[in-house]
Amino acid sequence: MKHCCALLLGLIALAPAPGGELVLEPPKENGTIDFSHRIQAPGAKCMAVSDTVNLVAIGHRPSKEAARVSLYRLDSRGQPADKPVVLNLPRPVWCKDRITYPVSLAFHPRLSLLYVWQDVEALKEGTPGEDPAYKELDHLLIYNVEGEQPELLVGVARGPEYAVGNLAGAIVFDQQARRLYVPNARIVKPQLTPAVGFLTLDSTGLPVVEDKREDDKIPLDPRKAYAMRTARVAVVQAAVKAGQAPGKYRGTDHNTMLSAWPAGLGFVPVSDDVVLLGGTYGPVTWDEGNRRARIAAIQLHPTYAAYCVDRLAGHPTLPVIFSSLVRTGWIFRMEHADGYLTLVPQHLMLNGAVLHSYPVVLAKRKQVVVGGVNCIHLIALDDKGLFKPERIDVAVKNPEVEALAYSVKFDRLYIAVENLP
Amino acid sequence: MKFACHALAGLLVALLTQGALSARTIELSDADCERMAAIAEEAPRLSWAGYEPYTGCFDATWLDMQPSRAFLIRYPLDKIPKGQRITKAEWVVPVQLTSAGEQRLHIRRILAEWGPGVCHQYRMARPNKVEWKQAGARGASSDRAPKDSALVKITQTTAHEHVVNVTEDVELWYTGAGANHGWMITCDDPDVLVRLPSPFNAYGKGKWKLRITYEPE
Repeated sequence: MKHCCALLLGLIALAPAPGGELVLEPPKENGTIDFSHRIQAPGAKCMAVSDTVNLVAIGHRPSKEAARVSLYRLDSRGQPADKPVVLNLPRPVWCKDRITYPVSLAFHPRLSLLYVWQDVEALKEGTPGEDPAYKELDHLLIYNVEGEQPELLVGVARGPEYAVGNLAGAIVFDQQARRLYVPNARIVKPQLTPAVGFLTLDSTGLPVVEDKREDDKIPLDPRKAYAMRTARVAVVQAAVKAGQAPGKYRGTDHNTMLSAWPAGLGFVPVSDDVVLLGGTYGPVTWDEGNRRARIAAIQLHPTYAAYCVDRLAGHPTLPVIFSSLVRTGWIFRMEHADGYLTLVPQHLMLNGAVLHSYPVVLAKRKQVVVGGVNCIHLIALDDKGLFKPERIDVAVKNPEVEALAYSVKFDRLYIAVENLP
Repeated sequence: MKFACHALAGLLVALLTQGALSARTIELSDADCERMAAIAEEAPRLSWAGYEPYTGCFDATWLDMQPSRAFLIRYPLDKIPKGQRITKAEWVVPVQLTSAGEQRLHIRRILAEWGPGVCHQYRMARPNKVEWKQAGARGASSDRAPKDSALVKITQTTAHEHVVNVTEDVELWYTGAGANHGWMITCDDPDVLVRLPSPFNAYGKGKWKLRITYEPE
């Protein structure tokens, strides 16, 4: 009885208040979950899972080895294959002494396509303005992942409007998969400014070339569909050779509260005009349809604490965003209405935790997961997506758990680890 | 005689102790609030448009009070036990800087319910979009009280706190005679600067204090 009373008092003391702060101490013992798969992928940096083609893709951190992505096939129960198909990213001739690496991955939500956003380490010597990467590096690689071995279809997003040398940033599709939001863009003139933007895609998932959007439906006959995509691939490749920029990149303007790279640390597209993105000091609403109030930023944490540390993710069913602050134990939760952040945030402090990943929302399970140091942290959510005072730490062998993904279809959480138990 | 003296002293102590115990002061702050917003005509859909560092770019770092803007805040009063009488309520309004001369802020009770998605255009966007009677919560007797609860006159141009007597409003809300939808602050004078620190700002967080003293009825 005494213990029950103490527990009750403890819970009352920890009860979350909207707009308030909730502090959760480390659990006395590590917990276990029965809906996860650990995948041994040393140096894993980013991950994506496709419920369409049953694949997990893992991008690896920069290393002297070739830049690579590991692809794991999932069986009918969501169990990943033991060994991956390794996808070495193309290494341009001009950067033979420099390291390229994947920054973010995304699967097309309906097609067998994998999108890889890559970057190259910054020049160690010389004038950055003369860096060939600003002319030659295709930041976006689109692969056909239908067959056993992935096939590179096109490489796009090259040119001075893309910054180089960034280790973070996200690519995210809008709901119709007609836009791919991209990170780490820049405005060169009249002054160098960080930016983010999007590329417009056609019905085959390729960046548009003509001004008019190609809206043709993909034929149901696989042969005709293949022929259509082959023709489109040829058009995109020819456009790249001719120095055009497929995708009709559109980006943010000057004065957007994006004041440093990396920029675009998560995107939550809400409508054709409005998207929430991870900015320099917290979430930013980019309202492309409003010329008078096109940008709205919220500083969820004191600006002097750090910058470019927010990692943004949206709740799949509620108008709620979560922002984890890497290298801290802080996570914020805030509501939005049509993409405009509203009311007050809830601030969760995971004592003893050092976070490394984007928040991953497990809507069905009413939990949010964030990668930490040799563990993942699961926090319970209520029906409104507010943090509840329930924390589970699950031990995994990875000192920086950065790559996590959740499959709704299989209800499985995939965690990249250095070693299996 | 000795017994009477002791009894009298005991009674005195009891009375003093009872007095001290019966009156209680609690302090609420913006950290206790579930509802706050900085609305602006220039950004009709934004809930947090307190500061415009660049044209077209808004954030919540400061609350720059201009005739087109308002700061909305509602303190929950459920920490006050039932069966009390409000004897005093003071609202601490932090001020960051102002134009020289006497600047005036108007504090009025909000009469209409507001919530998620509150902005210049709407008083809430969920579960349904509901517009203010007059955009910006300016509808007298519908969106907001027809008269000021307080008029704050500021003459100090540097950072300070201004204490406002809001006893009547808190009593009204506590007794249930009027629904607690909080206050709105506006500055109706054009071409002046009254900058208040936002609760999102380290200078403002926890500084918007409401001190309430109450005693048993």
